[in-house]
Amino acid sequence: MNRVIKRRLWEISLLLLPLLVILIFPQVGSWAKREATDVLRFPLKTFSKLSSLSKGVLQYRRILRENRELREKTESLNNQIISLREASLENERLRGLLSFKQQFPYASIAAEVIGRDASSWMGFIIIDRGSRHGIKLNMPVISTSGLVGRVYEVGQRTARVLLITHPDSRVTAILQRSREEGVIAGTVSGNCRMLYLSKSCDVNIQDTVISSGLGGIYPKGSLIGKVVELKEERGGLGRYAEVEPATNFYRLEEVLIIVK
Amino acid sequence: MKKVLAILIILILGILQSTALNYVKIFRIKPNLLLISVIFFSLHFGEAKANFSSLAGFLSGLLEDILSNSLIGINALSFGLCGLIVGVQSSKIYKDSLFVHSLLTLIAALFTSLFWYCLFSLISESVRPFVEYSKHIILPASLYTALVSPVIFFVLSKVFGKPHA
Repeated sequence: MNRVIKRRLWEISLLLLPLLVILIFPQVGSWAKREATDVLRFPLKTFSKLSSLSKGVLQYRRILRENRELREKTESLNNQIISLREASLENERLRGLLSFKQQFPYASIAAEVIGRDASSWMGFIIIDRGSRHGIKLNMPVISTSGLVGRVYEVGQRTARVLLITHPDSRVTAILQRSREEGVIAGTVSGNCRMLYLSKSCDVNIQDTVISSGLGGIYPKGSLIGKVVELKEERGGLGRYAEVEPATNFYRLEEVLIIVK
Repeated sequence: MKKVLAILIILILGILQSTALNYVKIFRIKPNLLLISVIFFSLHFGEAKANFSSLAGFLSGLLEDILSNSLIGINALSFGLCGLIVGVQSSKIYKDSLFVHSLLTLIAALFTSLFWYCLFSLISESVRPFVEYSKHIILPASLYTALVSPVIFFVLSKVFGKPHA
């Protein structure tokens, strides 16, 4: 009996060892995680591709319907582009007159999404580019739909991107229409909120939210999403807006990492 | 040989959890296949091989730590403890009932989630509101995992045979 108890205690002690290591040396845990993710990149990429292919077969009808809807939307957007081009040309002339400094497009690195958070806890994605490809910490990440997040961990061949829906994520933002400022914060339920809006601020449902460029991480003007609901803060001192992200993070397959 | 196969299956389930399982999310929640496999192997290998059950739990938890935003060791510890406890007590558990499998998985899921939450809150600088996390993640994820467990048990029992009585 004593031997059995001793053996169980010995097994429990072995289990406690990693906990002690992470408590004393958290950098060891981070390093081990980065190296392990680099090692797992091939199976992650393979399974990711296989599940994408099977998704196409299983969801054929839905994809066909989506295709039809997207064609109609594209036609409408093409018409809008023509009128926007006119506005853009006029804008260029005015900027030239006032001698505003032009924004240059940023260089970017394309990457594939090869994995996502294995738990249901938090929002991040794993991409197949790392320090060997020029990826650095805090580089902003976008998709064709809008802002995705920022690089928060970099391995040699892979990196992790903290999504804007993550509870720890903060993005300084403005409403495109009224230029009211706020901060986009991720929530536990995987959505976004625009915080620190005053009670008298000019904000409506369906207002477009873009990044303001303050803080130095995210470039100015990146599309974040649309306001879907307005709520009062506890205490009634201000308001916040529930923002639906423009990017569908569950269907993200390719992203661009902006190299400043 | 069975032990090697078990470890290989743990690795495959971990990769699946990070890739394909994202397409079966319900309200952003997905089942924890790694935890289900820990419970299965603990029941299957029984009390005599409880040290392997705790090792399987430890490896599953470690893989979950690597592929999630957790600090390395937290899930490794909680999954390892689950494997050890279920393995040691396996002779007292009625193994032929789907309800028992689901209940065991539910308890394990709640335990590991709460363990993770408490430890992460202590170690990390970020503040996590417990009520919101329970409502949106801990409870739904545990229930979903418990509901899916009979399916995974069925698949694994075809490979390894039913858990020994």
